[in-house]
Amino acid sequence: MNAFQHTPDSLASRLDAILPAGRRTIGQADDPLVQAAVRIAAAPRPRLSPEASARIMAKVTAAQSVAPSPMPRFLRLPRIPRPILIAAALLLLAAATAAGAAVVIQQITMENRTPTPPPTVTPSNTEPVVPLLVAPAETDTPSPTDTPSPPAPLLQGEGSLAAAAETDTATSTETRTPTVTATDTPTRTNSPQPTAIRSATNTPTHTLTRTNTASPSPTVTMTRTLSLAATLTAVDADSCSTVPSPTVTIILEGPVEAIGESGIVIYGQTIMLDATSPILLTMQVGDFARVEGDAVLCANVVTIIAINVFVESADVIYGDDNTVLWTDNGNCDNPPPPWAPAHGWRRRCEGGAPPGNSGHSRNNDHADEAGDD
Amino acid sequence: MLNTPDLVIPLNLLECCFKSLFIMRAVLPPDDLEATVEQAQHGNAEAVGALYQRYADAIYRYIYYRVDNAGDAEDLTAEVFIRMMEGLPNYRFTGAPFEAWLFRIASARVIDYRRRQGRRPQAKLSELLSDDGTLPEDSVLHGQEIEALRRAFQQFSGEEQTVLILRFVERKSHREVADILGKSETAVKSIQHRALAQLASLFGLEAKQRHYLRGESS
Repeated sequence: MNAFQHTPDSLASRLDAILPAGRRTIGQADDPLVQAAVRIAAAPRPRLSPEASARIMAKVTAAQSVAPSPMPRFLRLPRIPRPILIAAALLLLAAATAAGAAVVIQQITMENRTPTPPPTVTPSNTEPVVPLLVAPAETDTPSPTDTPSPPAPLLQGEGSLAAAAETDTATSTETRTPTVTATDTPTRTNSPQPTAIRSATNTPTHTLTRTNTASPSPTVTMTRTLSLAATLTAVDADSCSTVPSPTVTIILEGPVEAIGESGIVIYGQTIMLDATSPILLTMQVGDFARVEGDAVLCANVVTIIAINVFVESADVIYGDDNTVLWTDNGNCDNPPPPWAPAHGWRRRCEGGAPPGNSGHSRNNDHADEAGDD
Repeated sequence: MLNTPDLVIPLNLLECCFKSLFIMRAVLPPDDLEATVEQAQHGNAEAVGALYQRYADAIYRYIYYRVDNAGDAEDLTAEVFIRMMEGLPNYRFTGAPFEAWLFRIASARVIDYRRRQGRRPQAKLSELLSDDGTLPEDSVLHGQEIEALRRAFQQFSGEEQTVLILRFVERKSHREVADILGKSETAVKSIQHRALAQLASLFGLEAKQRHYLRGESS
């Protein structure tokens, strides 16, 4: 019989008979495959010498002494199926992500709370800087869908305020400094909570010889709405209180973003004007205006009632009685008052910035534009 | 002090080990395997020694036939029992014999050893293993026969080596070998058939058989 005459099963049966498991007996081998198995079984069995066994045992004992003691059974964690572990890990990851987002939101809130003076509120003449600071209301909760967009309707010019008001959909409340209004979205409402007021004494005159005593850290808490038309129509100056009593003087410079029947908007801040003021007829959207006025709290909205308005590009200077104090007639023989900006005239006729100007490049740029016009 | 190339063992530690081994044989009944394993799981040194004493030779033989020399077999045997110690806390009786776990550890150690060696001996076994007509019992020395078998085993795959060693050196049943390998008995029988046919060819037994069947004298 040769190897090919055995099947695995027949060979296994034959081997079980010749070399029974668990015993050392060896039967008579009668074919090459069984003889090969018998040769293995009959070979002397190598054994560990006592010395080698002791060396190995010493290694094992040494390893046992340095190995950590086994954890008691009752402390062992049960075996958890892998899908459950993965699901738990994903849940933890999601929770951690949500916590991180909350932290970011909190940071943003805190940043909003940090009062920063608007860059457009600049000192005029020799006045100290009167920054307009806006503290956020406590209910400032940005909506997740709050995506800032430029207030395009407001910037389009006259007659657009009412349309802007119609699109005002209250989704969140927010208060910001006026410097961010140009990029703000009109889909916001406000929860104004004015809490701190900068006190300053101001004697607003067209000569700007005022003596402001601004405190080093003025804070004007104000909330605003971007629905400017609604604000303008809701404000009744007679029924509103000036904040604080008697006055809070705010000086605001910047491009005119919108012009309504009774006011203008600069950096999103509503400035109420006399509806009969001739400046409303000459002012254009985009003109660089300087407004000096009083803050008024009315219907939970702070607006500014203008006292003096200077529109640089128009090169027309009005007094507080709406009289025209000076007009650029296009010639250099009609110099403006020293305190008037009159950038165009000064650039054209003097080749420099107006006296008392802060030298802000933006102002100069606007002056250049006005002069070019 | 007894110095070995990689270990310095205090003699008193050796003495302690020997003493503990004798004590363990007296204290722990040899067939109370599950209780011994459980004690070893709780760090009982005597139980660990009992397990070592019970399986050391079998593991050593299994390794010896699969490596190049006795020194490597000794080192790997120590590694197996150290791994056993490390794995004991997590060991659970699942119905498979405890020794199956040890043999699997040993097999993994041998595979790792082969990987480290990066080679397998490719010697011409026909010169070493050709049957000269004498029975094994008549071989010159036992050591030579063991060496011849070891060299022969190294021509086989790991599974074939395991089947040949466990079936015919350790005299395990097909079922036990199947448990150790994690295979079916049928698979073990197939491996056994294939390995014995190759081994018979290496030993020259088939040629001798054909010689015998043709009525020729050797």
